[in-house]
Amino acid sequence: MTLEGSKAMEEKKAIENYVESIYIYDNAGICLTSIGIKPENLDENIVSGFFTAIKKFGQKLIPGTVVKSLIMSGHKLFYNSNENITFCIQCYDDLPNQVIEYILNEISNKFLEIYQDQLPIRDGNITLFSEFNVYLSQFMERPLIESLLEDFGYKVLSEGVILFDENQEKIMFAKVPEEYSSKKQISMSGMLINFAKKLSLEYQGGDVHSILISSENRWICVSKREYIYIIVLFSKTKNIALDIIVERTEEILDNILKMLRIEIKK
Amino acid sequence: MFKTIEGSSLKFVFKITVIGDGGVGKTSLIKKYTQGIFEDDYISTIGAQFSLYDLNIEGDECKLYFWDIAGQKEFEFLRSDFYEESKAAIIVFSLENNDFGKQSLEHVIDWYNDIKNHCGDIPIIIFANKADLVKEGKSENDSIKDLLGNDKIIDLYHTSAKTGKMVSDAFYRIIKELHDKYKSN
Repeated sequence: MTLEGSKAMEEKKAIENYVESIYIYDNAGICLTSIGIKPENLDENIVSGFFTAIKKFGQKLIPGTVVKSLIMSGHKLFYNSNENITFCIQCYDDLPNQVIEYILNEISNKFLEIYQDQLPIRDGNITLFSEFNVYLSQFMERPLIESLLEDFGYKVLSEGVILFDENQEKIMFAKVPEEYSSKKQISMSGMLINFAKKLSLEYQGGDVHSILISSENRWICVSKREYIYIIVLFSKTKNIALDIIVERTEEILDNILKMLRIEIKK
Repeated sequence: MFKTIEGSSLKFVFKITVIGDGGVGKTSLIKKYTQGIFEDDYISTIGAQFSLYDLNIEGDECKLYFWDIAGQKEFEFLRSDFYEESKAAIIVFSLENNDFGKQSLEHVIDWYNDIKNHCGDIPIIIFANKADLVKEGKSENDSIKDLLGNDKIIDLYHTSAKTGKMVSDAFYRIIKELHDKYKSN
């Protein structure tokens, strides 16, 4: 493992490491609330005004379309419109799009849950939206990878998710009963992957990305990229589409690697 | 710190659309009001420009959000989209005693109809700009007089972005109108 890789791992991966700013604004271009880094002396409404104008221009340019993102060198902006409100994230361009969508969905769901009845704003009074900044601040403080894994585990109905760094022999995230997250259990997953690789080579199957084990009580899915493992446990009693499980597990692992800036060797 | 009704501060953002023929001085008026400056060189607005002005009215924090929309024909296709959710409109024409000035005055009714069609009955104020170029007491034509009888036209001001004449009064008039209207809601 490279020194940079190790440092990257040590660093606390809060959302603010990736997201520069978040803007929430309405169709008039009025910014209801925002958080993050902004150029000095630039009012949030000027930013939201330009975004709104770009959106409207895009709709005129290609009718029936919506501007979803703006890619700039090193940075990108992603938009998600819901109930006449646009949620915008400005972030570094190495943050995977699926992760951005997760963040946008989390924020928009929470915002609409609280304010849906007050929308659209008819009187220009935006006082009540100031409170949402508290939520945004807390959201920005949360370790993003943990939040992502938790959300992933919940969405795929898993019984547990473990993320493990083989080089550091460190559990990066574990949302499983304690008895399932020992180093021995995780190392066995690593050994299994290595064995599977050998087996695959025997049959000219190429590299192994994931192993899915069907046992009496559980489905156990193990995926590995470089020195990072993800182990996901599912109950056999649940009706789960296995191909989707493997696909989603690999997808989330790939996203995490991108976020940790770990390059996969070809 | 802003004073509030019942102890909590109110924060308003009012989107105000500023329209009128290209070259009548919309951008200059906003610049004069928000930054206190006037520039002799004319630079045509491309699409729209945004300006903000913070004001404390009766203890409430009011942010005026000006959408200065290009008056040229080339930008007509975008204009109506930019009007969306405006809380008020300012129609500007030029008092210049030439064809351009006369045309800009004749077009006030078209701008009025345009804004009414897209925004409904929002308060509108008319700025007769470049007052520094004409003698005092210039009267408006009949179409403007008819408009002034309309209760949505809250007033007409003779302004000069160059000298600053009546600029603050004219803007304050519409801001006060909006604050009073929405505060009572």
